[in-house]
Amino acid sequence: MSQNRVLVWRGGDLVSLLLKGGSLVGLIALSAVFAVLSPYFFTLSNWLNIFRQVAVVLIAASAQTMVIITAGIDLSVGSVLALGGCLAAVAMSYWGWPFASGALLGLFFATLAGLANGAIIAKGKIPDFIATLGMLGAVRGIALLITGGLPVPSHFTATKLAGYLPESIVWLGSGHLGGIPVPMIFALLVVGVTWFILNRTTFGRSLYAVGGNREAARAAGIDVDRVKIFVYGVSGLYCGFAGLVLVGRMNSANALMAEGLELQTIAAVVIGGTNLFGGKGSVFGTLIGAILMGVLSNGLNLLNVEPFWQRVVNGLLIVAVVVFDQWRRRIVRD
Amino acid sequence: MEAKVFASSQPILSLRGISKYFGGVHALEDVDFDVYPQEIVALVGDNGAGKSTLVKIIAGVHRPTKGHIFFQGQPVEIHSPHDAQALGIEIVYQELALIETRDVPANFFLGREPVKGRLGIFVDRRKMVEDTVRTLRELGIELPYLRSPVRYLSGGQRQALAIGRVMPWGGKIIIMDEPTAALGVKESRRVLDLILRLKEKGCSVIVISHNMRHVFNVADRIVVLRGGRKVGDKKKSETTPDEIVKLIVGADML
Repeated sequence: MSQNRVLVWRGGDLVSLLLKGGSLVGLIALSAVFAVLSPYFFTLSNWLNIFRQVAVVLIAASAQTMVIITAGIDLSVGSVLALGGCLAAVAMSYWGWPFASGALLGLFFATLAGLANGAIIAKGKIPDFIATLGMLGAVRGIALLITGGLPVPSHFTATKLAGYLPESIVWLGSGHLGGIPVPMIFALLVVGVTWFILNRTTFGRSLYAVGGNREAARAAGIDVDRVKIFVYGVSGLYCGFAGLVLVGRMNSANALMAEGLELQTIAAVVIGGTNLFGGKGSVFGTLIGAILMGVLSNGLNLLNVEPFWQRVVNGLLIVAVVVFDQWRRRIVRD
Repeated sequence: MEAKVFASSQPILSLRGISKYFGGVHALEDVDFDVYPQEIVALVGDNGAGKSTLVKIIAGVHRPTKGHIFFQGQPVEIHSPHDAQALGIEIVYQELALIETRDVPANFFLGREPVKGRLGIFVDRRKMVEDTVRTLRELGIELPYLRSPVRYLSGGQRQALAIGRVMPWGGKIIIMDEPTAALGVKESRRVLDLILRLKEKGCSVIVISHNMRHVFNVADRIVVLRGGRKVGDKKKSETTPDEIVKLIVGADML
């Protein structure tokens, strides 16, 4: 009898391993297809370019991984990123703040927005989906108000301009360290820290517990509300960092940047094998998922596919991935 | 009279005159309840008799409307499950409260992982695994793979895990709500053995059960609730299953 169980468990694990490896297999297959179709795809400069573009999504997707593990979802990641990035850019270029204090300002308010999400969800007993959807709209509006709807820095407001963005933030977004793009190094660092949080800290364990069985977590003495508030706060902080990287890469901020980031991050997380319904997931999976998204978009660019088609493909991919997730859950459960 | 029967030792836990009203519903009415050291008390009664309410008061989930609780002779107030745990009162819920997606050590230490380092936030995973293995071995619980998510364990294995994980916390009183309800014959036997082993290790156990055979197998004393009142408190040696069933259904009133 127990022999059977051993087999059942091994079977389940083998399947989940295959499915987890599935995203890696998908990534390799997709890369092979693009390599055949475009001579430019498999060049070092193109891959560095992919990583540079993936960095922002990857940082936000790491946060999204933690949120989704608690059975939550953060739809406001793009807006919070824009808020943090715009605040930092406004402080640096209009108010003449140095990089460090401008960055801290952006990070602070991005974290605050995240904590507000968590507080509304935990204390207001509002579904995660609704609370962060509201925040998506409200925070984007605040970013527009701060920038007046103009790019920052902008010559339309040149009279107010204290200077261009500092070198440090440009370096963060588009610099190189030993030939490797700084945003890529930074994003991989974020993935590493996230892995550590999820696997080696009591907070990380609480995230899985809250997502796996909320009532059991509560019964075990875990302060579910505090965990929720905290994870959304961390999500806000991560988005603040992603905002700094994006502003640095574009050497400019605008209130409408990173629109649709929520869908990209959710897709990366789900492709990476994290359970949309909580309790299970890994940030390394998200890393693969984010790279896969980046390769897809890069490959379509190289093949001169119209950007409009890319939106269609990206949208369909997200639906396909959720269907895949449902199917996988059925398989793995049996 | 009870005091004479158990004059040999002091109760570790005493409830006196406990009443609990939910709005107009009197879930418990003036109940006295004692647990002695190293004693297995079976709590029996029909659905709605107040068994679950009573243990939830002990576990800090509900607060009594009236009455007093004494722990080792001292009056105590149990405001939360946390307070109960601090006193050494642990509860194994009927629905077990396991995280299905997590492995055995993660469930074993749920919410109270051992930490290392000065910050007190880094999980000591080696200690988690070692303590889990040791406790399971001490209790004679066999689980095939510690690393597999709990959802792949059988009902009996889950029950054993849910019971076993209260052990390392120095629990003096362990409450179990229907521990054998969902189990087969063989697995029930294992869980009953586990209850006896907990007693050997110095714990007191409060067991809610509907199964008279299981009750008479392990219990030292049987407390019967009916309609929120205590209608029987018998040593096992001084009663019979028939008498207990009559007390449960109130046949003496027919």
